[in-house]
Amino acid sequence: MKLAMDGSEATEQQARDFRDQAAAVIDEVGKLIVGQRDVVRDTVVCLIAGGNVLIEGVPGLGKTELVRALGRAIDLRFSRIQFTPDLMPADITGTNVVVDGADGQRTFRFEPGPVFANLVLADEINRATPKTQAALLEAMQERQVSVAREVYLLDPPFFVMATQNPIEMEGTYPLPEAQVDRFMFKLVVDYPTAGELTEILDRTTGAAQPEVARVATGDDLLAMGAFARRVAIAPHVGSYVVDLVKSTHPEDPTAHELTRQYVRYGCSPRAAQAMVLAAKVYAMLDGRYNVGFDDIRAAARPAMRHRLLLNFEAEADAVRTDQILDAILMSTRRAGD
Amino acid sequence: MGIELTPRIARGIAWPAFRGTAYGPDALEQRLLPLARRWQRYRTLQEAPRVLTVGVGLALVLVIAMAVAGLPRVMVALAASVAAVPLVVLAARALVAPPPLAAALAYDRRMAMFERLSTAVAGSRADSQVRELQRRDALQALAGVDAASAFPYRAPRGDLGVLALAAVVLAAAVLAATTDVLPRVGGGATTSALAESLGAEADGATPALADPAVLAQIDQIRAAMAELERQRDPEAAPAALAAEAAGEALRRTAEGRRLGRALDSGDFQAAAGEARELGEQISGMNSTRMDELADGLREAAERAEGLDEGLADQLRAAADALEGGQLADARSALEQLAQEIETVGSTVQADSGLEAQLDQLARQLAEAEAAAADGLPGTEGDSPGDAAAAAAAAGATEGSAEGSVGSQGGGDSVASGQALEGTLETLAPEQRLNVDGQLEIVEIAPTENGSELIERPVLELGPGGSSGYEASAGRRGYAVGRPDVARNVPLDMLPMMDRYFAAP
Repeated sequence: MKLAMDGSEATEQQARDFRDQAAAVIDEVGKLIVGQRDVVRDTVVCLIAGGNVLIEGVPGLGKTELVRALGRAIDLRFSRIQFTPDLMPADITGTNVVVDGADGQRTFRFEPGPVFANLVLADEINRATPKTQAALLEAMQERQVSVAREVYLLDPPFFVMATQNPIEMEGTYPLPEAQVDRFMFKLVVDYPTAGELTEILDRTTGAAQPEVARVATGDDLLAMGAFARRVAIAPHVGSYVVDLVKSTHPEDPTAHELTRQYVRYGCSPRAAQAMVLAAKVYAMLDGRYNVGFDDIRAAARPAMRHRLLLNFEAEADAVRTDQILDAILMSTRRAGD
Repeated sequence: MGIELTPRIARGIAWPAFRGTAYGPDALEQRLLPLARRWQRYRTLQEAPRVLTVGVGLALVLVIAMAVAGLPRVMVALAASVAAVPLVVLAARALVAPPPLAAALAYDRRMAMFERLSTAVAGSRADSQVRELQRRDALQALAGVDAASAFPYRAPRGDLGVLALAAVVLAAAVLAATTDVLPRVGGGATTSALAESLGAEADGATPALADPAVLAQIDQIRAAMAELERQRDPEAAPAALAAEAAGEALRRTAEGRRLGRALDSGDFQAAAGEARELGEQISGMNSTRMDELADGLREAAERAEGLDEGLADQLRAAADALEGGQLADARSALEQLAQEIETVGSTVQADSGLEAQLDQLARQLAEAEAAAADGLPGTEGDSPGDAAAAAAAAGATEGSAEGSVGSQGGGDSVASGQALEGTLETLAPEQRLNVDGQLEIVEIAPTENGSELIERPVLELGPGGSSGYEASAGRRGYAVGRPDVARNVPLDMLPMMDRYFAAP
């Protein structure tokens, strides 16, 4: 019993450290990013949960700055890849180069690309061709890179934080479904409010520039992620996640009416995983050891919006995924309703 | 933290409290159980007005349906008790502890506890340390729960208003259906219900209040009237008209004037005597007078034709006989005419008696209905007695072939009709014959005061009217006979009747 109590106290201490470090990271990022509190929080949640993040917004809203700030607040190897139409896969993964050996022999040596980092910023990812976009697939899911029959493991932690412009813009290539599904969250950055805009002007046009301190390490992130997975989730909360995902499947009998009308493909199991993992981090940030319905609901939109593929009718009717998700969240019953 | 994690039984919560529930004895469930009971009572209270309103609605429909169907008022009142059934169900439900998970979810939702309680109750696959921390967290949250503010005992006002309205409507419907304080449901229903209470047709002339005594009295009167109506001879009225018409024709002749007057005035006894007198006088008539009388009789026969064929035939036969010139035949025909006139007279007179009784009963009925409408008790008991007497008299006039009619004595006596065994010779002096030789009698209870002797005008045997056969029955009873007593009573009873009606 004594040992058990010590274990509980240690666990409780871990939980306190979790909250403190996560709050510190959010605060440090908040020094550079004005407003966008939900985006900052959700980005940190993804990092803790070990997921990749796709951030969408028109140019100039601070998407890149957000990721750069995270790279500074957390002691991680950071690399930035600016995606362009002429970017090649090898420009991302790296390639074998011929080197002259000391003995005069020429051999191939693998030169790692920018993907070999802890935090990779894939800036404007949808400006590269699908072939180049696909170069990130293996790294994002399996945390490894295959080049010339050789497999190179990526050092943990590994996160890809991609930014993209709305696909309606010129010179963009929509991400293939398989790659989109590998992003844990898709976050949408909106325009700042008037007050936030004023604050941005004050911070960025003055003489003093805010400094972001390192408040966490990669190991801290890994530990936090491991701890978050221990958070309890009751069966009825888990059932709610399942119900939400099933509601996005057009062929499912429990599918929402809007799903049947406008959705071509529903969410994959990765959406459910993403929701539960993110919800566990939300619960820890809130000082709880259990996942609540509200945690799931908070994670539902960013976890499902990019996994919901709409049909032509939806495009014709100008229906957005968030509208369908709102309807699903509104109608899906929770235990106790 | 100050929270006891070790499972134990709290003071005041004994084991039996858990036996009927899914709640265990550990700290979390001990704390949750009373909260769960409160939530159960709260939600029962929330649903109660709607459920009760449904019950009241059902009861209302039932009450209206039963009232319209004319079922007894007691059953209608019992139907209203259907509204109490949901009350019993709700009360029973309020006493049952809900499932722990349901209660935990309810408090999670109401107190914004982010499923702390329900996760602790439902369990999870988390490791033991996290589960323990989570349970501790849930207990801490539970300690801060103020159940009274979370689930106050307050029913929705709107629902309460609807329930109150429904209850008022139900009460009004029950009042209308079971009493006459309010108009009964629907105009038709009002009339039919009143008619039902009075046993009368829905003619609108019925009282609003239904005093049982008055209703019984009215029923009795109506029964007596129905019986009298049944016993009236349908040929009596045409026979009277025939006699009147024949009398008019005969009054125009010199020889038949007296016969005609007698017939015209309805004095059939005198008319029969005049017919016989004519039979004796025809031997002194010349042919002209006989022809004149024959013409008068023929015209009288023609006028009576279609009204009373028997009388018309006898008149025509007498006319033929006179025209034939055979004195014996003419005398015989006039004698038969006299007998026929007597028969007609008996029929008409008997019917007149019934008609008089019906008139009297109709007046009594009107008085009783007026008394019922005013909510007054019935008149001093003489009316039912009279009605019964009339009914008995109806039996008396029916004659021996009709059988007996039960009877009661006057309202001031406790007499009652009863069938006797044995012979009429065994009747006690206090008893008298009720009807027509069918061995049914009416027992007359003697009154304390001789001055209370009441005349029973149509009672049983005895002569009608004040003239003729007056007789006393028993020591203080008083009966008035009728002149047709001989016709209504078998002849072999007459000696006993003479003795019976003789003064003591």
